[in-house]
Amino acid sequence: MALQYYLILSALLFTIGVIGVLIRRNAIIIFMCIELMLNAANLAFVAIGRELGDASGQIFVFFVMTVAAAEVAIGLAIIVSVFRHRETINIDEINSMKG
Amino acid sequence: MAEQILFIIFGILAVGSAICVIAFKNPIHSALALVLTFFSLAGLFISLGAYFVAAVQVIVYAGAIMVLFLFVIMLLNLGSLQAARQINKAKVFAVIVGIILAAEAIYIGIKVYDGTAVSPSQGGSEAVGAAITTEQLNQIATLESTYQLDRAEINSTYVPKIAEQKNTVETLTASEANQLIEKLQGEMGKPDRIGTVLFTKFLLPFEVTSLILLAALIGVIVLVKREDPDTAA
Repeated sequence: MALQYYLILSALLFTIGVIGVLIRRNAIIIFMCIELMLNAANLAFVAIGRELGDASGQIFVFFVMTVAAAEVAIGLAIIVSVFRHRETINIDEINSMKG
Repeated sequence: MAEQILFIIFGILAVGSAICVIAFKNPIHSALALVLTFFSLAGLFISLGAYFVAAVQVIVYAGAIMVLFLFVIMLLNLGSLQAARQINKAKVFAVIVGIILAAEAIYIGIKVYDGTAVSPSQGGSEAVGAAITTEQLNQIATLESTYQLDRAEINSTYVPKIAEQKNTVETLTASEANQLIEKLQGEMGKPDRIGTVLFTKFLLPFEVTSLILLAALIGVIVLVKREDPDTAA
């Protein structure tokens, strides 16, 4: 299977993630879409790594996963504490930092 | 052939479930669709020969991260919250941006394959039976240093599998050398090869990620800790 098919699939998944971030107002769904984008990048890493015969692509996937895990933990903690104060996670209503 | 079938099945599954993630109204349904996306991406990793990454994908993403998501959704009881859905300018804008981005990304994907940005390792058109080239010897040497392989180990285990009655790399023909390079590259998805690279070439980044996890751990505890009225003053 040629590299380009994997890259196109990765591009599609990334775009779906971007559209999700733009159209959804629920903070948790936006988080899921960010995970989707990270996974699309992982797919591109592994596909290009195989094409070049280099294991570094797969190593970087591990680092991306670690950062994603840390990011999810922090992000969900922020969502929980925002929900405690505001009783909502609709990002249109959480706008006190808008200035 | 098997790779094509895996790619088509899991590719369609991944895109379909990703669309479900952003289309479902209930966050719990979105989360379950995301689990399906992660599983199909693990299938794609298997079709790419990255077996260990596929296993980690299932354990870390589909296991740990999704449990965290579902836990928070159920803890906050978000399933019952009906967000006001409005079709507004933002949505139109989002679709336009998405189409432009998709076209751009797909264009780049095709361009990379056409152009010289990524050149596959196939040697091209050598005469049949030609001797191994210096380029191939260099490639094998690079693979050896990356995976901490021994030339003696390659000579004794890999070379006889490709060409019987030969036991040194130098005696291989060019096409056999290509097979050997392909075989050595195919080994890279295996856990021992990944581990070798991770703990030699990427040791420092590996240690730094432990600091990231520690920082995240402390950050989460500080963020969600309830202010105790007795000690707050």
